[in-house]
Amino acid sequence: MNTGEFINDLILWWGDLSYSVWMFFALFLPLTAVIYQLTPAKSRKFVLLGASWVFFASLSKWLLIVNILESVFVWKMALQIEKISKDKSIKRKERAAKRTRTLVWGIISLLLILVGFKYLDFLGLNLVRISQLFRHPVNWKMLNLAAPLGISYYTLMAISYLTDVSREDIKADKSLANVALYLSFFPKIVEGPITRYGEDSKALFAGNPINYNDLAQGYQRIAWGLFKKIVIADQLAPSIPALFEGTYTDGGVALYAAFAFTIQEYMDFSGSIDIVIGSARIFGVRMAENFTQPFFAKNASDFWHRWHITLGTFFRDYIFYPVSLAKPVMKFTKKVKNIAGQGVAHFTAPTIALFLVWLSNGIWHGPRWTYIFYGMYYFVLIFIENILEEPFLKFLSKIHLSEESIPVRVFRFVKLFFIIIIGEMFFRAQTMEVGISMFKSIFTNLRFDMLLANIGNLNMDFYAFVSVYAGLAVVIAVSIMKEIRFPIRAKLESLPIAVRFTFWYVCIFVIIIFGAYGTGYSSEDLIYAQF
Amino acid sequence: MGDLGKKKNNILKAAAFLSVLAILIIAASLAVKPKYGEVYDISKTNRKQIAVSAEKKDSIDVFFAGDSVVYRSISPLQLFADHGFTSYDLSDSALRLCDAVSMVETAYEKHSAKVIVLETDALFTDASPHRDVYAHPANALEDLLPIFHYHVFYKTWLPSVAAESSTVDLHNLLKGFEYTDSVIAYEGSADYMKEGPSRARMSKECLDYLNELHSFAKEKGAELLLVSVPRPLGWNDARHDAVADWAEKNSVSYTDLNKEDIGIDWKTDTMDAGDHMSFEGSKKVSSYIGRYLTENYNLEDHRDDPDYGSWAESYREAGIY
Repeated sequence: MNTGEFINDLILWWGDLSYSVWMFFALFLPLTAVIYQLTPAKSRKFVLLGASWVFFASLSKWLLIVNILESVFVWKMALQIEKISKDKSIKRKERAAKRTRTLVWGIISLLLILVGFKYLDFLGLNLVRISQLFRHPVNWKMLNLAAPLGISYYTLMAISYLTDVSREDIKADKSLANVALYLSFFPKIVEGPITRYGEDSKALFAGNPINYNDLAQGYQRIAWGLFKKIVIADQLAPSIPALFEGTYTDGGVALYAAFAFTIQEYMDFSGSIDIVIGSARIFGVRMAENFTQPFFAKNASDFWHRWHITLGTFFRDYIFYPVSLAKPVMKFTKKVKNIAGQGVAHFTAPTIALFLVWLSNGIWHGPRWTYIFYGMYYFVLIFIENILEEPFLKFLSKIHLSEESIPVRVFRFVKLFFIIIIGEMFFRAQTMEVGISMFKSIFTNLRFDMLLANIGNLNMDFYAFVSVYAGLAVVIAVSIMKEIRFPIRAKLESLPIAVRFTFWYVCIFVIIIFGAYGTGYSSEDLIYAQF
Repeated sequence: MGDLGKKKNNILKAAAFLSVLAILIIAASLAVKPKYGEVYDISKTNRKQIAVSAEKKDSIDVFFAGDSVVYRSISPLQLFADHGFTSYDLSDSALRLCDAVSMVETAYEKHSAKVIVLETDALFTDASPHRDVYAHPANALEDLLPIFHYHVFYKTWLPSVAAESSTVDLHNLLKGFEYTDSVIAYEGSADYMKEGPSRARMSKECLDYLNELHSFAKEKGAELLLVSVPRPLGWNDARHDAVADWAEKNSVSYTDLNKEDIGIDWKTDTMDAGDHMSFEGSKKVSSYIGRYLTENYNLEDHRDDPDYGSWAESYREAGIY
């Protein structure tokens, strides 16, 4: 074996450590932590950067170069933007315009790279369809490009960094290693969260030694994430493709499919984020939460304040507010006010911004019309909610019911539950046709006999069903406790050490025994890693 | 307590926690590791055990063991209808030999078949109960700590349940055979047996499991028969010779249907271009094997025995013949 082959094998082996969720948590993470701890504080960020690059290369091979080049580009652009901000030789207005031009150029470059890797085939195929409509067909040869790991996530982080530097909310970092680490930190590179430079940079670059509390709480969070991911999501996963094949015509099957996929997706994504947050915590980095009991939200808008929070706040801060306050939008709002009055004008700017937010949300999820539909679905629902909220509250006061009363809460919960699962049904459907036919069947053929007859043939045995739904009950119980702010961790920590240890041993063995891994299970990719 | 004391205390707590965890994992590994007959896929072998245990005690005359080639080629219902003896396909997709042997051994807890037929495709695939430890560190972990390999052990301890009954019912209706209406013609050479390497060797693990099955058959007073089903994509002269050598050396009967004229038409008799038999192909293979077994082994005809009335009923209910 020559040196190149040896290095390649070493990277693949290390990559295997990182890719398998078990190996990541039992070997990759401890090995990285030990090397980190043994390294002098000043150099610890280089250990994290090295581990992140190896992690990246093991999953995305040579595409690591793209991430590194983008890091260099972002680092340089941020310094350039800051330089313009500090340049007092030019007038303020001119300076702002120049800074904005540089920022826009930087953002467009980053978006072009993203589009180049992820959306070219989609655009090409749609160009072919459009050209056929005009009877001047063009050809498109599929490129099937592999995208660098986490490009959708780190592109947004890079945009937020450049924008924040441009807004002078943060200073441009002079250290290329810092910017590269921010854009490739291994726990968050696969599925986010989409963190802000100002939030995690301090702890990430400080090189603080690992302490007992961070280590213990980090691993406890990882265990919770593993439970959600491999005991619930991965056990449920084999049943999902059959439910979405489009071969079942029962509305009952469509409803169960929507419900089961919603559970799988939430457990997979929020479980992975728990693992990410726990892993970062080990190194003293406290990452932003991405989920706060989303199913207890009071409406669709509130749901998106609790589900994939960092994506929502990104769109809020970098699309919604800037668009709402943009001069052309303000001018347009004034015109609307003159024509249609204050009532309509009140909704104009937020609606335009909301439309762009949800279009971006749909497109960000990937090159598929079902994702764009998913974005538009929430745009329409939130728009309707915004209009109806006030009349609804007036109606409640008329019938002497408070917003917090149980009937209102139950109504809101049921309404939102169906909104969520129908949205997820379209989100998961391979094509719009499948989604529409499943949706129609709920209204035209709502029977449950086919579901009941086939529930035993969904690639899940009885015990897998039991462990999934018992696991779900545990997650619901914990979510309720979190929602009512019951101090779970404090209560646990107040228990005698033997009881506490026993509790964690039981948790670990539940994951080992009921997890879907090893022989007889196919490894399940992280759902949000594909976006 | 000072900072140093607190640090020491934390280190001690972490060490105690990890030590007890290690002991628990090792103890659990020792508890779940089978004392003998390790298997690769405990879920598969367990499913088959549940299915075959649903058959009436001592009611099976012949067991067919092997991978997917078996359940696509040999139909116990057709064999019963044509010859009157009972049989069961103890096969699963990509089944490793260790699991095939374990399935047969477990099935003998309830049955005492006179013949064990092993389809030979499984003799040239990985037979080990363990995954390749060099291929992935997770495999090494499973090998080192069997709790990770046998973590679904509880399924073998708990009873089978109603939710699985539909799968088991379907399985038992066809006695392990799987029906397909798929047909994709094989368009390769008719001389496929001459293709491939000049020599083939069974791995040491395959030989060990084959010897174990042979000894087991002897111990149970059963005959072992090796059968190779027609299969252009997976069989050739080199493999035939390796099996024939072993069979001769161990005085075990071997029949290779690739070398017999059983009227296979490769346009209609394969479901996937030469890998597995189509339903039409399975009729020809079952017909040949039925004759072979009837002529060479003293198998009872149960067709007029009211105790085996359910077999005739299954044949009618299946509605595929």
